[in-house]
Amino acid sequence: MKVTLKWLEYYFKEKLDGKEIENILTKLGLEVENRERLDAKFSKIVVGRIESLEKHLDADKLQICVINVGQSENLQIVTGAQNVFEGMYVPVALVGASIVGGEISESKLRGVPSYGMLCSGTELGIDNSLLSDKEKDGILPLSAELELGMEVSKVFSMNDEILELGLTPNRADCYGIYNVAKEIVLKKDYNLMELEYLEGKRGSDGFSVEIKSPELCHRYIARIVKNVKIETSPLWFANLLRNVGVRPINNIVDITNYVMFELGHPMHAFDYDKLEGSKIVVELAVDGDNFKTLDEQDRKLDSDMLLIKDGVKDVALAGVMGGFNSEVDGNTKNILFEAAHFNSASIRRTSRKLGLRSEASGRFERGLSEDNVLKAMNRAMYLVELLGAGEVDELYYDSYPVVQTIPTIKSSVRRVNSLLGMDIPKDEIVSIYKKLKFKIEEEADSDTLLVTPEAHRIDVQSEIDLVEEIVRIYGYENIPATLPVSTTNTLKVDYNIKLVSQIKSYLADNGFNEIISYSFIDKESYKKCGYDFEGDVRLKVMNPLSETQSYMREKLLPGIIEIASRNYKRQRRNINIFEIGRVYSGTDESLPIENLQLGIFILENELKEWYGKTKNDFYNLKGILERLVAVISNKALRFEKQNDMQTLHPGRSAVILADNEPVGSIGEIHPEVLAMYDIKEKAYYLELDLRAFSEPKIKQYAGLPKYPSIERDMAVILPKEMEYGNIYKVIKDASNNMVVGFRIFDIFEGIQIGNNVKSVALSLTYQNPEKTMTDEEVSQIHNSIVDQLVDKLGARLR
Amino acid sequence: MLEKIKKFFENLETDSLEKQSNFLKNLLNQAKEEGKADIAKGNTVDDLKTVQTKYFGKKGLVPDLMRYMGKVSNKDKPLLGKIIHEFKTDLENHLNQIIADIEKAENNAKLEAEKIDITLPGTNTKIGHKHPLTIVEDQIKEIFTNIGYTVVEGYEIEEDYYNFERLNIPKDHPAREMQDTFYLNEDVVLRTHTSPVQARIMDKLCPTLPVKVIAPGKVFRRDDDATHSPMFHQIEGLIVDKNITFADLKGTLLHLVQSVFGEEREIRLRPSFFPFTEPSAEVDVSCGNCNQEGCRVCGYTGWLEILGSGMVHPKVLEMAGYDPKEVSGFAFGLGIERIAMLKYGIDDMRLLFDNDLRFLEQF
Ligand SMILES: [Zn+2]
Repeated sequence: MKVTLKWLEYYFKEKLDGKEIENILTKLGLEVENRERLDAKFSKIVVGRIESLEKHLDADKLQICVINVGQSENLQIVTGAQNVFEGMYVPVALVGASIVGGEISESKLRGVPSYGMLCSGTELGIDNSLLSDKEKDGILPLSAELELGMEVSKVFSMNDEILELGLTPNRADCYGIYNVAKEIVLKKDYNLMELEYLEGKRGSDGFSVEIKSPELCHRYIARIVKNVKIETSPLWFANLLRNVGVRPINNIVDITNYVMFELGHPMHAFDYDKLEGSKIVVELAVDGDNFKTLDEQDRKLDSDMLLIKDGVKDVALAGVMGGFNSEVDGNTKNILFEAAHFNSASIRRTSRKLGLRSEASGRFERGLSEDNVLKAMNRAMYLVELLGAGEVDELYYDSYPVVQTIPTIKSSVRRVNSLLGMDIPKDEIVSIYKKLKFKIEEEADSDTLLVTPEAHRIDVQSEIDLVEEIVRIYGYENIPATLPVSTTNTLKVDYNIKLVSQIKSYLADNGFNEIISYSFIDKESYKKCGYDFEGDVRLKVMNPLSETQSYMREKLLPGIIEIASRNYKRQRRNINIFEIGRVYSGTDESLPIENLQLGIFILENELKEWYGKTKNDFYNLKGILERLVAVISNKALRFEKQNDMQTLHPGRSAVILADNEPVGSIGEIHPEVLAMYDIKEKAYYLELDLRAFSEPKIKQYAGLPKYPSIERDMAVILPKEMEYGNIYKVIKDASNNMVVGFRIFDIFEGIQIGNNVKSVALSLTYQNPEKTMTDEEVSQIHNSIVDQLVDKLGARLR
Repeated sequence: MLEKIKKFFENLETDSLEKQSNFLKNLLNQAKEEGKADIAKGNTVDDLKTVQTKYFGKKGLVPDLMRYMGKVSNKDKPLLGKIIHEFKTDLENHLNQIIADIEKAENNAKLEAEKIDITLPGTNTKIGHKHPLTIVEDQIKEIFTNIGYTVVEGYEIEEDYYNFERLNIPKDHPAREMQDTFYLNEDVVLRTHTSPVQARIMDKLCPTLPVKVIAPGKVFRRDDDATHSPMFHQIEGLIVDKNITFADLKGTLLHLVQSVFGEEREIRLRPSFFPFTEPSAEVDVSCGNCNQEGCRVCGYTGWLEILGSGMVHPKVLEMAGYDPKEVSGFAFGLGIERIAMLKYGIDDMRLLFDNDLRFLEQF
């Protein structure tokens, strides 16, 4: 919403300071998003007249003009524009002027000197949309009534400042600049001009208004203006509109736009002679009907859309856009003006469905006062007379089936202060209501006031709205800063929150970088990652920004590998990253399930360091996992091979089990998946479902061992395929619980020991909790372990 | 020397040691000097062990002297004991000192020979980094848990009812326009703010008091450009109790801002509108880049917008089952991205989601 300083000055009859107005509006909650001078982009551009024209001898498209700029000597200026003619009034940028696009200096065009430049509207910084077709085409034509040498910025009233307001939805009334002016006087003692209106008589002779859907149209007023002269508006009037971003069209349309910007209430003008039936009917459309709007587009209607009809045909889409069939044009003789109140939700739905938004529909959507409908009409009629645009009928036709209820609200002084934590005296509160022009009655109890807001303040409905008004005008800067005196909170924190924090710290401390990827996913990426599902349609976003963000993720890997790949393409090879986030799974309940998942990605990244080679591999990642689980849980981990996975390398991956429950997977990423992401090295991935760890680790003291332990080594030769897990199991079973430590310290394969076998060297720690073990006792168990290895796994001693 | 000592004792008459003691002391002093000379000749610990044997070994001088203790009269014994003891400790201390010195020197030489290049880099010195959004979130959580708030979380995929209706935003309310919403179906949305946690937690706690929570999490809006991301992070704060005031809100936010950005920073509250709070306030922090002179960072205003807040709307309290005449509360919501960008001087929001490791490693 644009407000100009000049428009405000018109109400205050006083010169205003843009910065000060910005501060006042900010303090009142009318946020100023931007403030700029219209003529900031140009200077030294004056009105000139083309005295003579001749063709440039060496260039077909150039013309040499002699220009009178009101000085003793005329200027010679070469122009490439084609719309120039002798006697034309034009904007002239003098040498030393600046325009949009640069500085003007003396120049030679194909040998002919040129002392300045003729300007187009765009070069003056006037938005193209604000110019008529004639004005858009080449040099901007100026009125022949202007004084030569006059600053062009003054002609267009561009020595003005524009404030762009970001209005909150509750203050739709401030889409009217007069209501903004009312706000300003709450903070500063300006004299606000009273608006003038042309009142009329409510009548019913010869014309009628019928509202068939009173829930969608609370009020409709029509008034007829006869013998209109359609012409361009006077410059001062057109300039006001142009500066708030509205293209001046003709006096009648300009008046409806002016009233909309002044009071915030949209209006419409019909060519009265194009209406048939001497009445206005407000009624819902018929499904499937077509209607051609002012912009000559055919619109498909449905039975949810509100129409204005003339008793014979449809003439306007209520509150959204007028009809082509009743448009005001150069031949229009008589006008029917409309001011109405339409249901905001209905207008919003209609404009949404048709993809048709206008200044008018935007205002209706936000909600307007029924009471102000007549004001808008009377103001427009005043302007018709002021501009001499036609003869206003005395009668107006008003259907008002749903009268605006303006509430009378109880306001307790004590409650205001107890909510604000302040001590504003009653007198001051009363004076704030008076400034707001809210009506006040005092109750007998001296604490309560009965307050009735102004009609256009439809946002003020309850006591809390009044509290807000008081503190807003009293000044947020005057609120003290205190801390709550509060009782103790005994709500317990969810352990998962601590868990996540602990895991993040652990991983960051161990060299992993945390990433955060989008919760949306491209369903194609599941396929790229080798998953055999396509994304649950119950997790599809109905209105995604793009196809690639149309599903809610069920897995972290696609997001993580995408980020890994991006970094890889930047030549990055040290990639150790993790993410903890929610993944979703569809259910038939109303909400999907949200699970916390951890994903860790490492790239192999073999490096020569001064102390030897390093690289990431499966066992690094497994070690990280084992330590992490030991930190967060008492659960015992187990790894099982799993074969039906396309995501991970079938020979180098495992399902992770915690206390025998599957909780994730770990492994080398399948080379085909890596290839999809252009990663040429090996990489490893771990996925862990954190639900399994949502209980805190329980710590229990077990007593220190009282007797010494004894270490013994053994080396056995085993079949090459024999897994460590099996060896471990045999030893554990045979150990009679006397083996407390178990470490593998060498694995060796080679010709010396034979084909298809490997040598495994182990160190076992023996300890009996009851007594000191003798050498013989240790040997006995040690030997029985060897026997078992021989029996069960086909081992032989080395 | 031994001869002289032997002679002395042969000539020593009974009970006359006291008179002759100076002579004996002289003799022993000479012996001590000889001893010290022997010690001085030694270069290694081994050399000195030989000297030690010579004087203190079984056949050494000191045991020799001790043998005379049995030969003098009872009266002379204490004096002789004292003289021998003095001789022995002096010499022994001296010898031990020198041995210790040499041992020290030998050790030092050995350690010197073992020196390494301490300027080589350490092994396996990978360090990792939490995402800056996590760092900021953790900091804000800590600020509030320190003053008695509890961290809670809500659903990222939320019912329309909680995301909007319970926050006083019925269907067709113009405020729905403020936040372009992603829908999974007509009744389920990706939450557009962390505010539905307000309703969820009040439902859980009502009628008990106080409600005093901080709720971080992901939120989603249909917006994607240099200053908006379709997914971002918020932290919601909510307190509901008896006698909570607008002034308390201001004080709490001042505490937050000064804890995050520094004690010298100020805040400015501006009237604003949120359907679920009233009165509502946008909160700005004074620009730290220009000390409020106005600069590019703050758009030449001296202030930076950081969060939205307000007193919990009576309707929101009512819908949760609290009586707005009895209790009041305030709520605020801030964008973690915004805070992180201001705190670290990050000028492009997209950096936070691009996850370029060169960026992440700076935190
Ligand atoms: Zn600044």
